[in-house]
This record gives sequence, C-alpha cells and structure tokens, in this order.
Amino acid sequence: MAQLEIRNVTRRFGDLLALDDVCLKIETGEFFTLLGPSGCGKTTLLRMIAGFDAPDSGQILLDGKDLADTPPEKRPVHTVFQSYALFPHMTVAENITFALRMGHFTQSEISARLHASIEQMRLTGKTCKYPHELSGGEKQRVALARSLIKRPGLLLLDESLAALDARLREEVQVELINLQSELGITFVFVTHAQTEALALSHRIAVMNQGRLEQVDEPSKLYGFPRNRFVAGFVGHINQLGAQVLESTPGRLRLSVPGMGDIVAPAQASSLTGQAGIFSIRPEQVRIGIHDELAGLKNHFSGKIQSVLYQGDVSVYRTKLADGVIIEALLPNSAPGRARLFEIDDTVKIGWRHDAGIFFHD
Amino acid sequence: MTERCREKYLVAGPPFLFLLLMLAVPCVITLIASMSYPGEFGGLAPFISKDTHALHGLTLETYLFFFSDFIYTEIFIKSILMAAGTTLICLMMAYPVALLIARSPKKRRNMLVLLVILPFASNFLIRIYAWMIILGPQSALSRLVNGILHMFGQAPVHLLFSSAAVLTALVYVHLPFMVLPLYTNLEKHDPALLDAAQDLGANAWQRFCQVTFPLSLPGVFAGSALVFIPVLGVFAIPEILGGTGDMMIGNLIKEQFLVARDWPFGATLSVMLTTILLLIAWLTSKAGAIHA
Repeated sequence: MAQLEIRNVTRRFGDLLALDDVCLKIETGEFFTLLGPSGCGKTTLLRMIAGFDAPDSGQILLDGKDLADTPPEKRPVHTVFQSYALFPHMTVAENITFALRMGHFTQSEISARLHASIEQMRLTGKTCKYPHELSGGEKQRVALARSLIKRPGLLLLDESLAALDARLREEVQVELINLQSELGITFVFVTHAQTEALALSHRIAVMNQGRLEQVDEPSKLYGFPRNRFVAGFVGHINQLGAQVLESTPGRLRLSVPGMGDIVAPAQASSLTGQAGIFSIRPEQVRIGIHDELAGLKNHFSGKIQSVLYQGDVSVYRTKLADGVIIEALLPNSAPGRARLFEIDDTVKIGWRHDAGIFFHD
Repeated sequence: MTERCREKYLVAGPPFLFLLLMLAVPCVITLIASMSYPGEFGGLAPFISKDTHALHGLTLETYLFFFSDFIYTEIFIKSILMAAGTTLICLMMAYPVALLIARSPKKRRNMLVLLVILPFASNFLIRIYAWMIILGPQSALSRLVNGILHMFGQAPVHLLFSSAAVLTALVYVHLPFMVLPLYTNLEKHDPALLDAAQDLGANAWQRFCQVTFPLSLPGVFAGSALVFIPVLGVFAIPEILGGTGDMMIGNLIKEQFLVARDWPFGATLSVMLTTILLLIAWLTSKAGAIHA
C-alpha cells in the first residue's frame, strides 16, 4: 500500500482549474518531487496534503486513511515553508522544539530531542540565537530541524531551496539527500527548478495547468519524455516541426522543412502523414568540420552562429542552410580553450538515427 | 560638520526648537508655579516683595500639603485605576477589531480603518453630550435596564452621573487610538507563520498565544500608551457624565486653577501627573524595546 495516495483530486479557484483529476501514489521512504512552472498546481497539491486547502472532489489518503476530516495541526505531516517561516520572536531552540511544546511531551524528552537535532543539523552554539541572526543555510537547517523534531512520516518541502544562493543550494541538496536516506522519511518536494528535481528525487511528477504530465524516475523523465511539454520543461531540447513520411517498425522517416528528411526512432502511435514535433537534446547533437559525421544517418551542413561558454560545457548554436537553428552541447575537455569551433565556422552537424523523439500533434 | 549634516540640522532644527520650547518652557513655568505662594486674589504671589511680612520666594509647602491629606493621593490612585481599566477594556475590544481588519481582504482594509476613525469627524463634546442622552433617566436604555431590574424586584439605578458612565465614554472615545496601532502591527504579520504553527500542531488558541499575541506586543504597548496617557489627564468626560465621586486628576487640577484659585497647588498636581506619565511612558518604551 502506498503511504500517500492522491485519488482523483480536483480543485477550482473561480474559473481556474488548479488541479484536474490528479491521481498519485507515493511510497514510504521515497524522495518524491512535484515539478512544474508557477501556477501549475503543485503548491496547491502540497497545501492540500498539509491540510491548508481541501479538494473540491477526490480524496487524499495517508497510510490508507482519508485525511479529509483531519485539520493541519492533527496531521502527522510537517512542512518546510518556502521562506522558512521561522518564528522571529523565538530562539533557535524554541523554534525547533515548537511542535513538541504544542503536544504532550515531557521536558526531558524535549531537551533530549533538541540535543540530538542540534547535533544532527550542525547548529551547535546557535540555540540561543534568534532567526535574524542566522545565515541563509542555518535558517534552512533550523526550518528542517523544526519540521523533523516530531518525526513525521511525511515531510513536505515547499520550494525550500529557492531562497539560497547557487553555491549553498548545491551543498544543501547533498545534505538533503543524505538526511532523507538516513531518516527514511518520505519527502514530498515542490520546485520549479528542474535541475534541483533531477538531482534530488527518486521520482518526479511533472505538472502543468493542474494536470500530471508524467510521473517517472529522473533519468526516464529526461530521456523519454512522454510529451512536448515534459521534453521542453525538463532540460533543454531542440524542437523542429516535422511530418511523418514513412513509419516502419522501429523507425520513422520524417520530413523537416528546411532540413530535408531525417530518421528517428519510432513511436508506436505515429502514422504516416501525421504532423508533429521532432525533439532532440543538445548533448545528442554532434559537430564536425570534415566528414567524420558521414556515418550518421542524420547529418547537415551549417554555420556556427553563437557560442555560449559555460566553463564545463559550451552551447553551440548552428544555423543550417535554410535558417533552422540547432543547439549542440559539447564538453570542454581540453582545458584553456574556450571553444572548439569559432563563430562563422562552416561545420557539419549530425545525430544518430536512434536519438531524438517525435511527438505527433 | 559636513555640508549634508549641516543641511539636516537646518531643516530639522526649527521644528525641533519649536517643540522643545513649547514643552520645556511650560514645564519650567509650572514647576516654578508649584513652588510659589498663592497670590492674595488668585494667581501667584510675587517672588520679591518689599513687605517682609508677605509670603515670597520658593517653597515646597504645596507638596507637603498634597501628602498631608490622603484624599489627593486617593484621587490619583482612582484616576490611575480608571485609566488602567479603560486601557484594558479598550485593548480587549480593539484586538478583535484590529485582527479582523488585518485579516480581511486588502482592498476592504482601508475602508474598515476609515470606519474606525470616522467618529473623529464629529465634535468631541457633542459625542459626550450624546452619551448624556443615551444614559439619561428617560432614555430607552435606562428604561430597559430598570424594567429588567424591576422584574427581578431590584431597585432602579441611575446610569448617568456614575463611574460606569465615565468608563463607558472613556472607552468609546479612546477605542480608535487602540485599534490603529494594533492594526498597523497585525497587518505586517507574515501569514506563513500561522500556517507553520498550525502545521507543527498548534491549535487556534495556541497559535494566538504563541505567535500572534507575542508578535503584536509592540502594537499593544503603543496602543496602551495612546489610551492610558490621555485618559489620565481627562477632565471633560468625568465633569459631564460623572457623579460627585468620579473626580479625576484632570478635574482636580481644573478646580484648583478656576474654582479654588490656588495656582501653586494646581501646578503641583500637574507636576505630579506629568511625572507619573513620564515614568509610565519610559517603562512602556523599555518594555516595547525588549519585544521589538
């Protein structure tokens, strides 16, 4: 039995359909992420699990029990809020022990748990400080400690890394993964940052306009997006308008305006004559100067239009003869060289016949 | 001193001097008056007199007189209790109102605040006289109260000219002064804090006691000061609505100057009142600073 089950949950705000018949099962000990652009309904769903909002129809079950009549303060579910929502008039110790002080815990139990929590979260020496005296990372750890002190079965994290700077965010990501596997508590994490979702999660649910687009492991989600939205939202991708010329088992021949014919892996449902979008990841596109790409089924001539140097990798935008632009991502393995190709270089680009995905309309 | 700095002093200087003069000079005059002898026909006796038998110079006689008769201390204590009571009732009545305004939709808040300060649009004395009519022996309210009392075989009561009438009007007049600072404070609270408290298991009462109230303490102190201080010096309301036993410090001071024509004693009472108020203001600001 799944620990948390979302059963046909629908929620409307006026004319806006915030959640549209959402079904989801989250297993015990999972690091599960709700990923989507702002306004996709992910925060609404999280608030429903916490109890701050109720579905118009459908059910939310925790350990098989319907939560509909359980107010937020009675749910064994705790939340790490986006802005942390630390109590500004309480010290770190008072913040962390809040949940225990609201319940029936003995003083010795409270101080024992506080002690363990302070140690685990590396907050030694900070117990008497007030939130405004803490750094961003410390605030984040206090918020985590506060939500974990009562040992909930389920921890909700609402954009909890958004307030941290990039460097710290990476550190906290690692800490979060370690903490989650150490505690074995189910984490439900909400974010709009796809890199964060890919790095942290066991499974990700991509949401758009109140619907679940795809629920999968990060690598599946990235490698085999189910539709154009998921392909475009998770990672970068080249999208080209195309039409199916020929559909054979295992292989599609597509006509792309401005490029001619390309060969792509088959989708079961694609029929000859169908129009759609061919998508290919920039790191699957190769670039060569001579005819080293001649062996590939798909190869074209073009000119480098721009180069974005990013340190570890560079993104090359190549303009093909008929104006189509293809992005390619190449690692900068030779140190000290900012780019492998210069702007206006005439190059060949190409990719394997089994790379890319065709989404019909 | 840099150019910018000098500019700042030039701009802030005149109003500051004005305030200082209007505060300090009357204080000094009152202090000196309190230590003077009364004049033969009211006013103050001259400092220097050719007649060596006449009273002149400075004395602490009025202060000794104040403490020689307990009635004055009693009026002070009663006034302080009345002001404290008014403050407490105002706080209890204003808190729900302020909370309601702070938690109502943003576009409705300004309208609600306007409603709170709307009574200021009519004259203070007219509002007090209105209470005379509301509480008068022929008023619907008096008849209702006495009708009910009669049903239970109790003797009829006078609502007007009583401590209750004074307290009612004091609360009525000063309620907005409590609502406004409380609202200003409560409106700034981050609603996520209440969500967090609830999420961590706090019920509605615990959320109020642990989060809302402690965070609102600066507003509570500011509102209390704005109510307590003017109420302690009030004289019109007890004069119009109070009975003979409802004299407050303000009435006592007025009596000394206008009826008894004892300026030094009136000044002494004023000095004592100001001292008490400064002491309370200082304590409040200290308490407020701790919680800010």
